[in-house]
Amino acid sequence: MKKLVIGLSLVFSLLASCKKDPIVGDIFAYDPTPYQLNLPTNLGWSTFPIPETNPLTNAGVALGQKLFFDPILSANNTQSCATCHQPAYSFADPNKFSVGITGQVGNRAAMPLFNLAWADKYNLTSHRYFWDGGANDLERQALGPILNPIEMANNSLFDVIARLQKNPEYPCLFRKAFGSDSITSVKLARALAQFERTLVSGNSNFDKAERRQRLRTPNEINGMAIFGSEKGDCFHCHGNLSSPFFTDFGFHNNGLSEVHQDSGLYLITGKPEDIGRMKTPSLRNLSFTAPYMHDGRFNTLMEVVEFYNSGTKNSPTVDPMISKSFDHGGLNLTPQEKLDLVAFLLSLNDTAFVNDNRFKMP
Amino acid sequence: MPNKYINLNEQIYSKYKMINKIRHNILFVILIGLVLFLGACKETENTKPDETVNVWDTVTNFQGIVNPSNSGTLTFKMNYAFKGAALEFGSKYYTNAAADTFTIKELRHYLSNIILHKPNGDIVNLKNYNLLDASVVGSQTFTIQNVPAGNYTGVSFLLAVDSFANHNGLQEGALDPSWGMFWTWNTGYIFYRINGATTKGKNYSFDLGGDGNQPGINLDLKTYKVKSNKATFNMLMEVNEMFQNPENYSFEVDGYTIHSETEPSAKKFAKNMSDMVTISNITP
Repeated sequence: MKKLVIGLSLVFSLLASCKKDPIVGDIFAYDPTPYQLNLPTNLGWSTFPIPETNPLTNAGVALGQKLFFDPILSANNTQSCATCHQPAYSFADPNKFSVGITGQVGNRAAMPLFNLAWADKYNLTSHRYFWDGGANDLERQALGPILNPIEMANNSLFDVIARLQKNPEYPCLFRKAFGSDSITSVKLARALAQFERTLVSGNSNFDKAERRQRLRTPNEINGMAIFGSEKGDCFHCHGNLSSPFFTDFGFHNNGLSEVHQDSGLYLITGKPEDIGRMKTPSLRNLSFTAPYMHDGRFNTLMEVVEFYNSGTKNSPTVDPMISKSFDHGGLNLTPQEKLDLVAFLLSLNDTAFVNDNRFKMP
Repeated sequence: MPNKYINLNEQIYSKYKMINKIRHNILFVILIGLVLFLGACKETENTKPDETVNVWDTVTNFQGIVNPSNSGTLTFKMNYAFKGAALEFGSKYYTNAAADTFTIKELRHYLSNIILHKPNGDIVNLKNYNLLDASVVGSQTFTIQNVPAGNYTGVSFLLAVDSFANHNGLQEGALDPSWGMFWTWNTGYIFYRINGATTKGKNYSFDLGGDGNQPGINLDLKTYKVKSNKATFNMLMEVNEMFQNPENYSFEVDGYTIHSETEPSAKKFAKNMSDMVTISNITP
């Protein structure tokens, strides 16, 4: 089987070899030109770790972007990553659950994709990606949906590689990015991860205010105070105001249910204290990523605020930051405070990010 | 000149010639000797001993295996059996200690981190990651190059991937996720996969993995005495052993499927598996 695959790959790579153009030259020669990542300048932005085995290069990022938008990765050529991770929706799905190529509906909301690589820096555990932390790094995560029977439904990575190898363009593009016409699943995952690492969202009104390019409104200022104090208590899980990520990159049971249909992190670690724990999402770009929570149960931000205000439920593994308000009947926010909190959350929207041509279908 | 003087001169001259001859001969001999001597020195420089090769070449009192050369190789060949009989896939029924009766459709596993043990306790880790398929003969043999010269009285390895490689990015070769021995929903490799049908109308399917569940095999070589720079270890995996010793595994009690590292029955297998491989023989 192994020999057959290698043989086939060699044949295909010969068929799709990248010839030198007599005038332009070898435009598909390996190009290690690094990708210039321009990070925002306000407080807290830092470089993120880039694996030695997968540096960011222009060719790698371009290849990853092409693959991200290409339905060739799904078993019946109908769905790409972008089908469920749509740029206009901050790379999330406007539907509650996504539908796979066989028509099967998923059970968790497609997560938005931005500022992903900082999880590699601030989350020192081995569970970083997916709602339940099932993936260790972006490279490994990329293979998940490709093989998931209810998503892109490929039987084997060999099927995907064969389609890519037969394609007239991909062998050349892989050569430019990785130095060889011969495509492997490791290189496929690396290309996708490179593109994903470039999705940086840091141009919201909040960021501009941080950079003194804009003034905050009074509602935003009030909302920020609620967010960052014991009044709203949001900062305990959604990061502090000196950090631009609005997540602690951790996992919490935020009181959504008494009984958990989806045990979350427990499925990965097997530890009873992890039952019902889900990854803390970032609060950026919320206007684009409705509905909210892992099961998309809340349609509006007001519903979410009301949930934290008075709707959180007890369970054995509920987070102490949630349960401490049970005695007081919740957060007891006034209607104006709720509006102000929402105003602050809306200031985290980055419209430039969702309209950025660099991240759209190439 | 009078004759007697010519005669005397001739006598002196011939004596002189003779002495010169002797002198030349002696010089010649000395010269030859010198050349030979110097030549001999050069020769001994050429044969200045490579310490390790000499030692291992001449050692006779040892246990285990001696690889005399730093460019030596070690070949490992795994054979598979159930209760001593070679495996037949999909058709033959086998029975374990818990009286489960089942076929074996697929059996694949990793074998990695081969460690050679020296008599003084030092180890040589050959690392090496291999993916073996019990139904594909070509996958059951692999050779490791450039094994350090030495005497080894033990060899150990994992029937798994070590914890570091288990979480350390994506790699090519045997660890390429394309081989399918890889969970995509929970980072980590499937170390050992065995599945098939049972007589109870249900199939069984065990995908074993997870840090802490890596079965380690430790093989004592002290009863062998092999000196070779290309030794072959012929090993036998007795599949029945994973279902027993120390604890019997029962499909009915412990489960027909394991597809995650967190299932407790995965640990039962890991404990049973540490004695499932033995050496049949070592050939030079």
